[in-house]
Amino acid sequence: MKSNVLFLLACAAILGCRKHDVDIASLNTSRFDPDWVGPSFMRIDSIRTVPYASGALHRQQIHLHLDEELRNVQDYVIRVIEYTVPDTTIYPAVDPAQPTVVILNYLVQLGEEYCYDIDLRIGSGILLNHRLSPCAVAEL
Amino acid sequence: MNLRDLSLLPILLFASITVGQGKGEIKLHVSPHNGVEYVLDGKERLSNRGLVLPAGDHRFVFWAPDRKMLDTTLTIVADTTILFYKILPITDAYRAYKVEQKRAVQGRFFYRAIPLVLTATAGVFAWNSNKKDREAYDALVAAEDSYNSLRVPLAITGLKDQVLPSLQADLDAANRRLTMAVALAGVGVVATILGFIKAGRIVEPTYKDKGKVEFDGLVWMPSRNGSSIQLGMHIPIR
Repeated sequence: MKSNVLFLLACAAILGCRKHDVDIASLNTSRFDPDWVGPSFMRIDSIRTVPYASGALHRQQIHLHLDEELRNVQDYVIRVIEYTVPDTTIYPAVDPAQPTVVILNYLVQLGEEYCYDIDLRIGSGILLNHRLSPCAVAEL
Repeated sequence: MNLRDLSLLPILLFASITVGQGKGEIKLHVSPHNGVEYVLDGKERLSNRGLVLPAGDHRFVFWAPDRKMLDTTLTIVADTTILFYKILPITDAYRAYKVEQKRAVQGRFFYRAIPLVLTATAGVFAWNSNKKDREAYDALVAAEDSYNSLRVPLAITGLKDQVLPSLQADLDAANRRLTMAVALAGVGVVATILGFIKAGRIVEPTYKDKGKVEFDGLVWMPSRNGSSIQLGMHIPIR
């Protein structure tokens, strides 16, 4: 009888060891996961307004800093939506040899406020949760 | 020789071989061939197949182990050879004993073999299920570990939406199968133990050949002071 109990305990131990439940909902620790909720791969260093075409026009320059980790990924794109004059611009992947700062240029009118949505996509267009939504008044 | 004895004589063949004046020969062909003995005229216990006897009636009591005794009178004819054929039938007690013995052997076999086969089958099933369970577990853990090394969002989405749920379902099914297999094996082990205990309690019947005791008691041995009777005792040794 004792050996039977030991046998059953051993079996229970085997079954217990193999029990494994993956909590998919909590699996969001990768920054490449569309469900990522932490810091973005992108950071805005500055938004400046600079003269253009001999001072007749002005443009806003968004200085975007990209995380070093993103530079190892070849096929990402940055999509920018500018709301004042609805326009979408797609920026292809940055050359890994270049610095991790991207300058985005938009024509603006002085005194107006411009808002942007800057998204990041990798691979076949899945949107990552790394959106930035800066707003800035065009002023020298 | 009465009519009953006559009916026990299946074949009597007469041959024309001359043996001697006033004497005749009898050749006995009694089955089973091994172990047949007989008492002649209530005096001599013999086993030889051929006899030369004075003409006239002679009483024969045939016996063989586990066979019915045959008490009969044969008439010896002068200058004639008689061939006597007879098969001694198996006794009812021995037949019943064999049935009981067979039942005991089959019972022991049943109580030992069936649970043993069940346990062995369940053991193989458990071993195989354990192997499948380990493979399913390893696959799930490996897939989960790959999450942090993936750099392609589409691959991560596929991993979370399809691969991991599928592997989780596989592991859950493997767990259920293993649980069932282990339970079956446990039942088999218990059944085997109980079966061996039960088989050990089955008593094999013993057989006492009462015919031998009776036959041994028939022999009348002459002695100096007159006569004595030879008694026999049958002790089954297993």
